[in-house]
Amino acid sequence: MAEQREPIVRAAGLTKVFRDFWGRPKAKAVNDITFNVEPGEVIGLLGPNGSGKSTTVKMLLGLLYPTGGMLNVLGRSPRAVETKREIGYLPEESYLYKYLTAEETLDFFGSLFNLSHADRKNRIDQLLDMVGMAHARRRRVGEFSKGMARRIGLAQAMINDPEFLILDEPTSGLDPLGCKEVKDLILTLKARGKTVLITSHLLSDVEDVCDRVIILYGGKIRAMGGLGELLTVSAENRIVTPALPQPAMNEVLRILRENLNGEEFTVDHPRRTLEEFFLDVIMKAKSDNIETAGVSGGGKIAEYLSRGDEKSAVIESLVEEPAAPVAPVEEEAAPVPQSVTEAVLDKKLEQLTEEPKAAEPAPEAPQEKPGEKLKEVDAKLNDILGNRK
Amino acid sequence: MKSYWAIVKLTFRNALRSHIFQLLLLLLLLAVLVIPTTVSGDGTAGGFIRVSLLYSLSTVSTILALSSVWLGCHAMTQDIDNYQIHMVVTKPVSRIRIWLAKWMGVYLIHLLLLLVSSMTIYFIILYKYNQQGFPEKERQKIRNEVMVGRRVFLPEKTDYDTLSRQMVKEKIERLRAQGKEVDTSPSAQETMLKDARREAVTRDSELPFDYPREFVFKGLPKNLDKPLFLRYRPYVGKVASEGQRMTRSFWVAGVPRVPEKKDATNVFEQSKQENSVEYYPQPLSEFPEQVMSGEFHEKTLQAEWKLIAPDQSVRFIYINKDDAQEKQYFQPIDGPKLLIEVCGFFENYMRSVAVIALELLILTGLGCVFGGILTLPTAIFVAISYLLFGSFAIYMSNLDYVSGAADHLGQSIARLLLWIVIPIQGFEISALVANGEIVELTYFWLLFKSYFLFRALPLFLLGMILYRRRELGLVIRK
Repeated sequence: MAEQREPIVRAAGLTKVFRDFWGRPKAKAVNDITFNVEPGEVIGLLGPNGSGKSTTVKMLLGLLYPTGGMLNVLGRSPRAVETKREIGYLPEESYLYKYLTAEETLDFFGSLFNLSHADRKNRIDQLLDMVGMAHARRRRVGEFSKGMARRIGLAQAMINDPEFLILDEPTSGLDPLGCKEVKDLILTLKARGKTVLITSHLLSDVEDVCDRVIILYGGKIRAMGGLGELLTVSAENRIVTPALPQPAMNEVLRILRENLNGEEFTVDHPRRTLEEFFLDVIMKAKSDNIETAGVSGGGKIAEYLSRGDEKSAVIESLVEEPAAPVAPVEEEAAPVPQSVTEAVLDKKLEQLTEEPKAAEPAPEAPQEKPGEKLKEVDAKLNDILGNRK
Repeated sequence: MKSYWAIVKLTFRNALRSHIFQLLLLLLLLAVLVIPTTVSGDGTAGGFIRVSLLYSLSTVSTILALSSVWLGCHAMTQDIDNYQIHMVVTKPVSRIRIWLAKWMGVYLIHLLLLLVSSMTIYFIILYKYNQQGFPEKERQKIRNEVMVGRRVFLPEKTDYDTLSRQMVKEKIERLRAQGKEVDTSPSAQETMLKDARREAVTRDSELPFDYPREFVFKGLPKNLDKPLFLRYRPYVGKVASEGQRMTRSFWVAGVPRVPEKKDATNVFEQSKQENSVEYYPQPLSEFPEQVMSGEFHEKTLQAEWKLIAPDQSVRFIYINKDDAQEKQYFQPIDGPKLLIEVCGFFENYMRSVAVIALELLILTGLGCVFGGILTLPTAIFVAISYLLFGSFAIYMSNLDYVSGAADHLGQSIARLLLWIVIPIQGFEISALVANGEIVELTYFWLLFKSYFLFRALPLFLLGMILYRRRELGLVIRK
């Protein structure tokens, strides 16, 4: 039987009371919360303003000290220097030194981890490429837009290849492309077995990447669990099919009316999200080599962050921009198969990015190689397309 | 150590960007370049060099002292107020290391500025000395009195407490002998003692016409092969810079001679003979010299004269020979002093720079202590208050004479305070260097031990502990 891994974070009865100058209690920001963060999971800390998210994160980082309860991070006190060696932190705002250039900023934070000069240089190059800031490496951080500074903040959080990454509003200030890159990065880190804790007000972002969420309100945990279990409405069903001819649709509606006994139901066409549409447009623009003074296309995960991670390589091969993009107008003849393609790909991605089982060692020789998986997907697509034709 | 030096470097760069620091830097530049080129001194060549040196060095040390307190506080508080410290303390660097690195960063920039400005002053002074075309006699005087490091010996101090008590006792006996009633109440005694002390001090500094006054200097080195310099400043009529005129003074040295030994009849006689020294008067000039009152004068005493007695003492007699037969005065702080050349100007100058460097080390640390636990305005207020308490405390505790319960209480509090506060005037050595007096290594060690090791270091440790324990996440950004 495989060894049970220790939780990355263990909080039991965690409480934080803020006091005034005379020591009188002023506010109970965190009130007796208990939770664990398991290795390799992406967990979201959600809640409205003043719910205790930031206080909890600050306690995890050793910036605030608990008033009561127990808190362990990576098996040690969060204040221990050794604990911090394995933590990456992106604060809500990028509190960077404005007079340092992007390169100097990363070099400074790399030095705090006692990285050698060669290591720092190597990682800085990769990180700047990854966050799309290689062209601005010698510009001062003070000259950057919020989004650009955020990217440098993200890069500094990963300079040490952390075991546990704490991202406070990671997509705040980023454009949709940046948001996607961040989410891709989180998924890559997850695939490598890294643990990520995210706080965010953008619930869609959390939904895209998190395995579990903790919802805080008034300093207490109000809900906690896997997204699947929390968000699935088991009292309803949804069926997605290719567009049906009218007789077939009438038949479906009849069956539904017969079975629902007068209850309301909806049948419509599925919609793409604005984010998906936006990303398509940007991919197209990038493929046309249109120049920009802002963030250039990053998104290529730093080599040292994805080293030894075959699954993420497959993800990258799937999400990377096409070498010869096909203009959307040319695909008008096959709108239905495209949505089916996405569904199949999504399913494949889920399979590929699922959390590695802790008890099992990484498979030495997988039954299916990534290339074979792609071939299989292609074959299925051909089948579907062929059938439609 | 990479992380340590990274923070040192960052603090250094950050300090350079502070606007107040830039303003102080401009003042420093003005002090270094303008003062030596514009001062006129007292009209003499020596005075010109002395005043240039004094003003430049003291201005530089004052500006750097202010700047070090400010930047020490600023370096610590700015990172906390801007939340940038969150990015640093969440990395594997202990807070003690952060504190030490910031201290070092602020200190290094001041040390660099001190070295650059003091070297600039040094070379400007040398340039002035070489380019002004002073007569050789003046140049010799500057070499002997300013551009040199001489050890100072002061005459034996009068014990004013004993003397004033003795005077009161004699006065009471005299009054009683005259059959007068004497008020022996504590307040009356206190008043008599106060008056007697004032009289004793006045009498000690007075030099009546034609009245020989002996000065004994002790602790001189045996077998000295260098000349001695006797430095004095007589005033005529009153101790004031105005109304001084030409006067006459006459110095006589006591040349020690051990008398020939006779056959001792007993052990007491033998001991008496071994310790006995006879002094023969040796006038230092043929006639009473005409000198300007209110100014310093020096007499060179050659080593061949062998003025140092076996008990390592030297004796002089001074006679006031004023033409108008007015009283002359010696201020206690003026001496007379006996000086011996110990080192060259450069060495002495560098010793003074070392003292200023030690002062800056303490002041930057002080800024970091208060900056690490308080907000910027509060930290500066507390740091300045600490230094003011130090200055007042040393003044109060050094008062020779206090009367009344309030004075005694004040002096007791001052003495208690001196266990924790640092009197910063102890580091003011510009006047010593400008007067060619040596900055003793023992004095440097005393400053290091008393102020750095015993007062500053415990305070720094306390500051580090409080900084380590501080909840940095509590600061709310306005």
